[in-house]
Amino acid sequence: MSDAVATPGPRLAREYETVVILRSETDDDGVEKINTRVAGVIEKNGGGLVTVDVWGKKKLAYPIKHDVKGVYCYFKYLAESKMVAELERNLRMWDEILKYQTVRVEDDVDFAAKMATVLPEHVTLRKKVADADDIPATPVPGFEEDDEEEFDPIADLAPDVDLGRDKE
Amino acid sequence: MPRMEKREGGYGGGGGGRGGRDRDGDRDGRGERGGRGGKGGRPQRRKVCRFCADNKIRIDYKDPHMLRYFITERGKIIPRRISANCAKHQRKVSEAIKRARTIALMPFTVTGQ
Repeated sequence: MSDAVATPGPRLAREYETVVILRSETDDDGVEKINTRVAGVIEKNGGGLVTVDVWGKKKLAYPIKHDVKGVYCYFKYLAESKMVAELERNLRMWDEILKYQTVRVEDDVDFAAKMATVLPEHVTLRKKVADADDIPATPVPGFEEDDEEEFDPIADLAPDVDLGRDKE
Repeated sequence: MPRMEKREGGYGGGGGGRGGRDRDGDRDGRGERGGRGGKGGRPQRRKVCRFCADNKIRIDYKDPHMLRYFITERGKIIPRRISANCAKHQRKVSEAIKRARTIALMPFTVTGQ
């Protein structure tokens, strides 16, 4: 309770990650813009950007604002809760953003130590808007070569259970 | 109709009316499942949580391909009595699926058109 103010230990921050879905028409410029905006907001409020990634254009699992595709951008950063609120306020005003989600990754991260590990290429845009659905799914370790039989929980463990799958 | 009758309630009723095969009190799959030859005649595989068995697998909402194993074709989360996850990992899986749903990486529901 008392140590927070008294001891000048390492500055602790929280690590957050935000996924932003942009409208499908968004081009490279639009992605660039949102990136500078996010980076600006984080910097201005004393946070630290750790990772920037553009996943590209992906098919949405359900339509959002009548869009069936969206451009996914991913940011990871160190910040405090107030900064997240500020960032999300900014995102909300952005017309091209369909949806966003912020998740807390870790508590009590040593700010200086973490920022020292960040390389410039982690925070520069490399991949731009491209159809990400064309890229074949990378096999998930631990799942790929176990054949279906090994892990089709429904057929395997509970053949009686109807899970809405088509059976004939 | 080729499709089986739809059951709104979900899975639990599956064994009901068939001699209660699924109602043997071993709902969490913790007990030994082997050697239950009796009525069903079907050897039960012993359930082991995949994530406990292999700690290299990460449960991440950003990886819908992996999470797809834990939803039905309708998009429902598979209960751990069937997916054989332990409580800890089922919690993480369901959390991840819910997060993935929020950012449209996974569906809330899949209707047959």
